[in-house]
Amino acid sequence: MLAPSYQKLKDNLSKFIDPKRILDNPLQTLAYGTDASFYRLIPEIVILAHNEAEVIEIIKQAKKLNIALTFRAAGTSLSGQAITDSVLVVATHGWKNFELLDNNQKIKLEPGIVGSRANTFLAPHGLKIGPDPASINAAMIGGIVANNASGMCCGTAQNSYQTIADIRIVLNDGTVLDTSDAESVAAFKNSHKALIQEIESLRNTIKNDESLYHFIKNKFKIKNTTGYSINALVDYEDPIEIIKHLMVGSEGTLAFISNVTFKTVIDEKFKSCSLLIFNTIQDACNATILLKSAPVAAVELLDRDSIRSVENDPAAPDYFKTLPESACALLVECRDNTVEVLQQKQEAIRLQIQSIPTYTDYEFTSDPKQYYFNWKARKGLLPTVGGLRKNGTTVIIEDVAFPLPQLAEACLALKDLFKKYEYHDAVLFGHALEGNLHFVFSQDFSTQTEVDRYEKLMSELAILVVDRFNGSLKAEHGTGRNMAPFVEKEWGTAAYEIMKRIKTIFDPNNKINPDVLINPDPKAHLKNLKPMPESHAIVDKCMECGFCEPYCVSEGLTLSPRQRIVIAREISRLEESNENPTRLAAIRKDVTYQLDETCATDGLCALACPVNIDTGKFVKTWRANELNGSSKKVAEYIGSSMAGTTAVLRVGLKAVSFFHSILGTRIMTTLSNGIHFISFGKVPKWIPEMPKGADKIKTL
Amino acid sequence: MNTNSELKVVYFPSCINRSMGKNSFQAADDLQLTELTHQLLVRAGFTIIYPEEMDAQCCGMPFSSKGFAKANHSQSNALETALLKASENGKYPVLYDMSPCFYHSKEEFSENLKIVDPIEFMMDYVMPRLTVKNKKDTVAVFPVCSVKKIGKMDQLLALSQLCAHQVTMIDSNCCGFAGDRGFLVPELNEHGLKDLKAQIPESCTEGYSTSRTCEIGFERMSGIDFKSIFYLIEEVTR
Repeated sequence: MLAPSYQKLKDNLSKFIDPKRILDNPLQTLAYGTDASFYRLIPEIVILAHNEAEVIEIIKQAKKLNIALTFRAAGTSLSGQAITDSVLVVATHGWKNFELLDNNQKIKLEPGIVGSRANTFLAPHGLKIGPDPASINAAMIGGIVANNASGMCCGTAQNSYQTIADIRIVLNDGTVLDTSDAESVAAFKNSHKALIQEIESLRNTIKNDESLYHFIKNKFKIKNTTGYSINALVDYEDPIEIIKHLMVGSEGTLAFISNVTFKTVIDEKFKSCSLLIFNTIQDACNATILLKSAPVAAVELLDRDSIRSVENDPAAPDYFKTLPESACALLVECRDNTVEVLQQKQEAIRLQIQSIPTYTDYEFTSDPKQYYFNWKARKGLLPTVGGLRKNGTTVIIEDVAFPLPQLAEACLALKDLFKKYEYHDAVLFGHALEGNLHFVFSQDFSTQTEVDRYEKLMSELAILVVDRFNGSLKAEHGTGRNMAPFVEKEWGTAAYEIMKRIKTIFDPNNKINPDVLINPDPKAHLKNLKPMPESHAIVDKCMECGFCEPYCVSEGLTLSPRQRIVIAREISRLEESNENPTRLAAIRKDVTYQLDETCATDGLCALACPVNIDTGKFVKTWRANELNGSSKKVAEYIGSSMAGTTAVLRVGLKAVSFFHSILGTRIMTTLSNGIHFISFGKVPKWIPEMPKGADKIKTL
Repeated sequence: MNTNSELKVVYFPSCINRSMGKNSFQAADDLQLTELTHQLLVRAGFTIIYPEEMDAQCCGMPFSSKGFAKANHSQSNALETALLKASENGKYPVLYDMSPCFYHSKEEFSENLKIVDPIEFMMDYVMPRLTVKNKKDTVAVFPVCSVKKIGKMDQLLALSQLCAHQVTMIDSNCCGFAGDRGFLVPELNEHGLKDLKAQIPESCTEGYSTSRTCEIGFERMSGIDFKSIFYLIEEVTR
């Protein structure tokens, strides 16, 4: 039963939005509420919004009832940026429009477009969008912008913040601001004078505080997504420009993003890369410093443990297995539109780092096989480690950045820290050129001792990154619930007060994605931890990242592969614990249609899954478990008399076709729909495209 | 080079193609797929061997999809035995006329048999022995899930480009027809192919693929004739 205010919201919105898209049953709220983070909050209501008019209505109605809203397109939300126990507004289906502008120099995109899809619109013109997160095949524009996603090659020069041209947003009072539309801007300046003044006053506060001004400038020289993008207040004078850039990285806590216009960037035609092995991590980091001024497109660091996790790949060079413990690899990428310049760039890179010896000789390669292996070694690290973890544990990826000169020292300090707290499976890799390092490790949250261990690690990590190296606690994955308690630690009181004021300016009642990014609870990162119960061997390795979703035919109709796994896990947990039989029964009530009957079991999800989970296979075993003995016998009988079965089908289809020719399509459809209905869907619906029976094959 | 007398192929018509005949879109003089395949192979110079007790054979996938693992394995084993015998222990290639059945057998069988999916067989064995005489203007093709999983999308494109000047490759996930699911849960097919019509150029009235049931789903959602790519090859080389 919904609480009265939520029921009222649902009733009121049902007049504007198809009630089928306002979900409040336990199966769907859990399925849609889940992301790849290690937090769990289950929304009271999930609304699948299809357009801006609906969103405006949702915002207005929720405001009247003082109900909190969280907006989501799609992304991994690794740090818990888009989860809620209130109302989740999903903007995916219905948000797929795009428009190429200014001779392809710009592209306007709605939030539900997957990043790689945006690039396919631009590819024929040799262009792409700036941000290139590893999750680009699943992450949608809304999430990419709201988190200021970057990636391997975009660095700090081509991230969402740097490449945004315009934005259209819906504010907490239902007003729309479209920065590409002069009329909209003028109207907004008129209707929201106080808001504009507050922004200007914040800007002036910083301008008048020289040390704060330079502190902010410096913090954004390396990747930083901790807190709000307050560089907007030092980089821009015009309040509309400031608002536009503040929205980037705001994690949906300030307004709803209806569309975004990006400045497009060149997608170079020719690419080559090389895996450089150095004797020590210090050598690799020193080489990175030199490479900063070389014509490189990307420099990715892989520590010895990272290399170990890919050394058994058939395409891996033999020497991987015999590398010294101290070794460290850099994957260096080179790009250009002409082969000649590409070669010049390769040569320039070689010269630039010739003072630092490498463990082996290296060559740049454009050979698809080698090129692919090099990048696979890098991109496969999260799943390699995630797939090796013990069942019941969560894979955690930390995302920090350091000033480049301190990178080597910071790498070693991080490794020591993880050793100290006995995270022996931790692997270190990342975008070295940006000083951005990822640590991947597995974490058990099922006991208090383990939660305590995580807490200690996090507080010491904050000291290491902030106090010792003046780095960023989050470089590109968003602050979320995971880092919200540490924003003040990283930014200091003055900057944090500005961030709190930003939140208040746009969301005075704290009802737009509350507790994310700004959270007064110092232990917020240890609350609402997601259970990871064992469910079935095929799906136990699932990290709930959602990479599968764009490849699933039933996503949006019922469930995606990740959502099927979430539901299966919850059923396992509830059956095991017996803690809430009513909830279990409610989920079970819808599960056959949602999880089983609408899965095509095509297995395409496995192609996108970082740990190769074929949820179709899982659903087949689910079907097998749900089947009773007598239907299995029927299947065996049918199987043992296939000749008879195909004969019956042949004759049956001929009979249906005969009746069709007499009765006509409309009557047939009506009749068979009736049969389909009364047989609980077990008799196939007749459709006009159903073929006639075949003639028996003459084999002679 | 094989002489014609040695050019043998085991043709395994899938149970779907053995039982489902032509559809309402097809012309009266169209052959049913199994017969058309037979003629095409003969024209390319092949001697066809049919597996014994063919009417009793099935790759087992319909059982596997429904969760009947035991029935699946016994069907699959029986088919493997029959195909080993027909191919003289793997001496001759085995042609499948549906990609999903090929994919399923590939997963289930041991390595001794040379089973070949419809696209590869046409590309490597049939096309080199025939001449394209009347290339079509424009066709649509759909790579079914099994084609995507074995990474043969490029080959499907290349094959259809041999037969038509303009080829539209349908961009979609699974068609949602999924064997008999399209009959049982038609809304899955409708959802999966909701963007289909927009992708097919106005001038295009024919679509081709390599799975009979998917083709039914495509016909239903596109309103144009979708059938096996064997029909396309047969027509342009006739």
